Amino acid sequence: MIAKLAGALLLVLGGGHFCVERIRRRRKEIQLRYELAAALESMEGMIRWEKATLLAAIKGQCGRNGCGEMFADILKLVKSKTALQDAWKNTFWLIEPVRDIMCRIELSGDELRITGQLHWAAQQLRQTAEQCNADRAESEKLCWVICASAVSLVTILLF
Amino acid sequence: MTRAKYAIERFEQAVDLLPLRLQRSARQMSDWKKEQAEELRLRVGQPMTVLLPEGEQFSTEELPRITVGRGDLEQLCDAVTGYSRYAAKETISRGYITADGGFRIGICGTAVMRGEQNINLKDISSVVIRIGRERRGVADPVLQQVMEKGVFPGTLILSPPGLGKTTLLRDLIRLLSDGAEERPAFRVALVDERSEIALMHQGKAQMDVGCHTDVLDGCPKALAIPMMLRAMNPQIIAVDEISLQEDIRSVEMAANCGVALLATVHGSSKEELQRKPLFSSMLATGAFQKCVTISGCEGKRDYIVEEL
Repeated sequence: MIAKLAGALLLVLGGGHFCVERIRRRRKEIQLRYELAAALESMEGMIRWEKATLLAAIKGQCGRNGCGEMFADILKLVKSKTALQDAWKNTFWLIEPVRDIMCRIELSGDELRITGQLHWAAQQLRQTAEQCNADRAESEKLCWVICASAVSLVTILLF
Repeated sequence: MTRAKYAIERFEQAVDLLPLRLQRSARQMSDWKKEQAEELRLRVGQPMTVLLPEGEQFSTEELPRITVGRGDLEQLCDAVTGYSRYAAKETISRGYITADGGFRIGICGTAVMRGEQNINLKDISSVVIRIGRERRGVADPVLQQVMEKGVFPGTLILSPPGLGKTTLLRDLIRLLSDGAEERPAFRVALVDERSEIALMHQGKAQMDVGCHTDVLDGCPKALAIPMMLRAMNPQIIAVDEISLQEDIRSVEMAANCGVALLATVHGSSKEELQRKPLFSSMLATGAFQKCVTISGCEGKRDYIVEEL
């Protein structure tokens, strides 16, 4: 009986941990989209109003929580003589949730083109973040329902 | 730091601007050549050269020499402008960009014209990296002769191209701005139209122009001088290369406001200046009381101070 209880407890804990991690990861991904959108909007503003260089605009994002390190990595690659576009793509290629949007940004041309690209990408990130947010609530409810059902089933089976 | 060490360090900083594949041949040069190098010249399809006092030479004797590719020049311009040529649009249209560290990079290519104005350069075909070096103290003996009882009179620096007018001007500005025991510090307004004196980069002077100097960078003198007079309350206004009628009008305005002027002009002697109508009218304004003529050859310079 004790063994069954221990096994059931482990199952429930394992399942619960899985659900919690999944929820946490999804929330982190959504947060990352919002942070990157804010970073791109900030870059757009710096270029549009201050005629800041791309490197200065990227440097301005290094202090952000969550995505600051990505921009710092880009600068490190550029410092080691990697072209900026390559450094940008190589860095964001590794971040799966935002890879498609971020790697489509072309950092070349005049400031109109570049700010246009940044604006588009920021909008895309916000839209997908909102979409994921809407889905998240439903998906979390489903997770908890499944968890509760599993606990109930185990209880029924045991007793 | 010794002068030789400083000169070599500046050379190495200039080499850091080059694409990686060209850096090696530049670093292989002897220390003597690195110390003397004035410019690094890159032309598409040709090996890189270095300008020394005795003339232009290939940067390496090793064969075969690496030739400069178009991609090298594009990469260099991208790196220097922070991958943002739009941010350097004004200076690119005038044929140069300023790199971090105070290196002026001249660019040649195909002009993109809008009406009668050049708005951009494309298809870059050659680039010259000027290795600017400060020469602190070069103006000490000159300033002693120019100053009169603690007052700085309007002074013109005169020389043919390539003899160090800008270097002397920069050091004079520094000395006037910093002051010393025997002379006061002056508020100097520097109009750096071609970004060759203070070498401003992102708001910071890359060369030492003194602690009481205000720099207006990249603005035509005719606009900048009235701005400085209205806004910065200068005691001395320093400008480089007076060459236009409107520059002279602004200089006259400054002199009428009681501000001393320090300027450079192309020419080999006071007499030659007086023969040119544009400059004889400038001298007639009384804005300048002294003239420093630079002459010399093979690295040696003579500075002759005269009354105007």
